[in-house]
Amino acid sequence: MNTNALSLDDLTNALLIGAESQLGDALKSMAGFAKEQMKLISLTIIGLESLQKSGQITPEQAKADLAIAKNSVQMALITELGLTKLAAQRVVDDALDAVADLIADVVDITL
Amino acid sequence: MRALRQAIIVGACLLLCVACQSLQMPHYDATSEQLLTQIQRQTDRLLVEVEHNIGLKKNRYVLYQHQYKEIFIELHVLTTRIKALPHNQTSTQQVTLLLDSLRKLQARHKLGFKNVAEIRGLQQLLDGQFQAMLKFELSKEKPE
Repeated sequence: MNTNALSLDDLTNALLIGAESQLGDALKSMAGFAKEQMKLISLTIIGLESLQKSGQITPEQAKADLAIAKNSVQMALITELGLTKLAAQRVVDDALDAVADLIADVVDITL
Repeated sequence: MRALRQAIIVGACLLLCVACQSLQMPHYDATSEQLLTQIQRQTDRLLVEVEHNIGLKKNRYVLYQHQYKEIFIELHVLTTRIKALPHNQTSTQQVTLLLDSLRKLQARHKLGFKNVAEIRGLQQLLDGQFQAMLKFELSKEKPE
């Protein structure tokens, strides 16, 4: 049995490194939402570890709780990717507006 | 003159490409937001009651079956709506995860809760999932 207690920083970093495979470069530019979520999830996992070690919950209960924590990690990553995509699409929209104005100025037509 | 014509064609192509991209953006849906908030409220109420009844026979799963049923009915309505809306892949993935988490909460309740810390930990995880879904919905383009 592993008697080493999990540290918040180590666990958060491990989750973020694991996320790198899904997010790639997007991880570096994360706005902070996923990082913040990973920290909260890490805190919960540490709490679960403590409850199990002190015999307050069974391994079966801890396993069920960890499955929900895993979903939370996935939810944070999916959301971060979705937000990044929305931001990129907004940049494209702004470019569209700029090009439309430019062309309208030059050729005096409205597109 | 030829250069100007080329510039216009390139510009028009750019506009077309960008407009197509734009059309693929998911749009904010007020009904989805309301349903999600409703499901969060029902889940919060359930967890608060379970926490309040810790150590009592009143926190047995069988006494909460009806509340779970109500949550899953609302969640089914939300899932159907999200899947019906165009370009809603991220929200579809999110609601699928939420459904799985709430099913796991139900299974966990059947195993029993003995102390407040267990429930608070789960509530924090579920709060994060609801928050992520709301954040994404509110970040979508509002219809003009």
